[in-house]
Amino acid sequence: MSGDLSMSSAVELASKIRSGQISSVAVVERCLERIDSVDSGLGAFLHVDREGALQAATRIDKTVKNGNEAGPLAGVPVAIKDIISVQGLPTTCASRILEKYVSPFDATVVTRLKAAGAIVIGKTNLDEFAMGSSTRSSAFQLTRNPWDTTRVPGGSSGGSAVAVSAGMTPIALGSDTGGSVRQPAALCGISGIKPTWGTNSRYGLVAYASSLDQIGCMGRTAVDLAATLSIIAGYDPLDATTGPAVSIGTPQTLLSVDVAKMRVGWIPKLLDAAVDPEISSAIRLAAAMLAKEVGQVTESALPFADQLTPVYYIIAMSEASSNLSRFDGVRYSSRAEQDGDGLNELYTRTRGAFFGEEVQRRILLGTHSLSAGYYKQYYEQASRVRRLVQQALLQEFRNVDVILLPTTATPAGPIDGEIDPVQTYRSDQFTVAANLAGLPAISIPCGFSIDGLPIGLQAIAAPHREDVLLSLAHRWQQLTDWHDRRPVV
Amino acid sequence: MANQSFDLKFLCNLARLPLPDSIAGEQKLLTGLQQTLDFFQIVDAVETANVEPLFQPILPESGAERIDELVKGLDREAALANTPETDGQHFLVPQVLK
Repeated sequence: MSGDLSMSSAVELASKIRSGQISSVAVVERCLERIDSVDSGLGAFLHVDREGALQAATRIDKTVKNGNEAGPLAGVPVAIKDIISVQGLPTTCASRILEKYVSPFDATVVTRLKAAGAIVIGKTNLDEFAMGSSTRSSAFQLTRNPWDTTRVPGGSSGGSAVAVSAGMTPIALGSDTGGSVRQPAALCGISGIKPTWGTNSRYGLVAYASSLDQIGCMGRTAVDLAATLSIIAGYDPLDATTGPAVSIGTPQTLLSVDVAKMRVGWIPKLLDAAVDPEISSAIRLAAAMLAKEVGQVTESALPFADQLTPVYYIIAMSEASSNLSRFDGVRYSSRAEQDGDGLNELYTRTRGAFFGEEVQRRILLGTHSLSAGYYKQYYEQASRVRRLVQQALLQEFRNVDVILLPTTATPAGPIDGEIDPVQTYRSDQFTVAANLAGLPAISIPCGFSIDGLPIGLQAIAAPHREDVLLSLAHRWQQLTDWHDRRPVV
Repeated sequence: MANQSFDLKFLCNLARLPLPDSIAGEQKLLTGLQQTLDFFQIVDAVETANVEPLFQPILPESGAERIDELVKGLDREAALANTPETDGQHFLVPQVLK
């Protein structure tokens, strides 16, 4: 463990807290000090639960002192994306429409983290309702990339990525509908995993696009991701997409697949076009390095590469238009002043007053895609192509265990300037395939641009092979030190 | 898919969203929506005649449903705690029937 508690790994911290070498209160206080000193300039947190975190840390320290089992993440702070419910704390989804909403229950993943001894330190910023790739569409604040505060942190889980990257917490949760854990992880120089759809319960995650949404883990190392994922994953009677037979395994089994036998696919053709040359070089170098470690490296393919993002956005917007219909000014938080009367007037005025511009755009496009006369052309056609994408990817995984890709085509972009929605959508080109097909995917640091901005290496695997991804990532982090680099903030 | 003309009033009503409050605002919104539909157009070219739509990526296992027994949910006070208007028993909405 490094001398700086705020940059220590979650697993090391838990071990030292369990053995009594350090107290959880000391760790939480150090993270709170770090938040106090850097977050006014970064904007990662929307809400810091100072009092609740210190009370929970005191309970953990008492448990340890009494000689009782305190859990695998005993006393370790965790930041939660503000779209995941934590009882007694706000869940705003970075939207004015939920500005005053306080969760009356814990999401299942939060219940499990707390039972494992983890301490919720606060809720992190995001694009409004997770609809974005820069965290700029938050209704409340900008979040800045700690490697260069004139740049975006990525999104939509930008706050969680920054909180980990800048040492405000060792681990965080995000949600990943089209890359929202992996992309900000890549742009902030940390690791992030989105497991197979159906691995983590979404009970308590505010739904964006239900056939794509999956809660993911963010941390500085594959070891910390394995520890966190093994706790939050698994069957939940409150989310029928989780199955009783699926078991994620232990942190040890998640890291113990024999890398020397792995068949790794990569896509050099993809790197020739539309990818920043520095990112292309970093991915080529990574593939060359891994070639010495794994069983074989072969050329692979990303099927329907040109159609992936439009297919993804048709489906995501359609599901969003349905999911967000629940925000109507009746049950949750904000209600617009009445001008006329009637329920429709209430719904319309409330949604117009409190949803941001991008959320309204996506609801309108999703409504259009689902409407009579257009359903077959948009939602149904996109869903048919989705099946082709999944079939082609599963076919690829008969030949390889892992497909390597860049996580992003460019390093983090500027935080100022106009947002071109379609250009923004295109930037998700390498991450959406895993969501469409329901596959697990990870992003790990693999270099820096000449401007000092982090670059992410993405790996995708067959369904339920998170162990392949984490084992490969762990080996990569034994060979390289990109994940040990820290931003100066 | 290209060059569809939106009936923005109809669409906004379906989505329970207000129309922009100016002609310029309407035009800007329409342009943005059309640009996105143009971006979607490439999906149309894929041959999918005999392909079943995929609505969720992994089918839930049998037995994933919870046991059909009564479990305690949120109590009334917690369920009403976030509503903008309540009488302590119900969600209150503007009068529907006159």
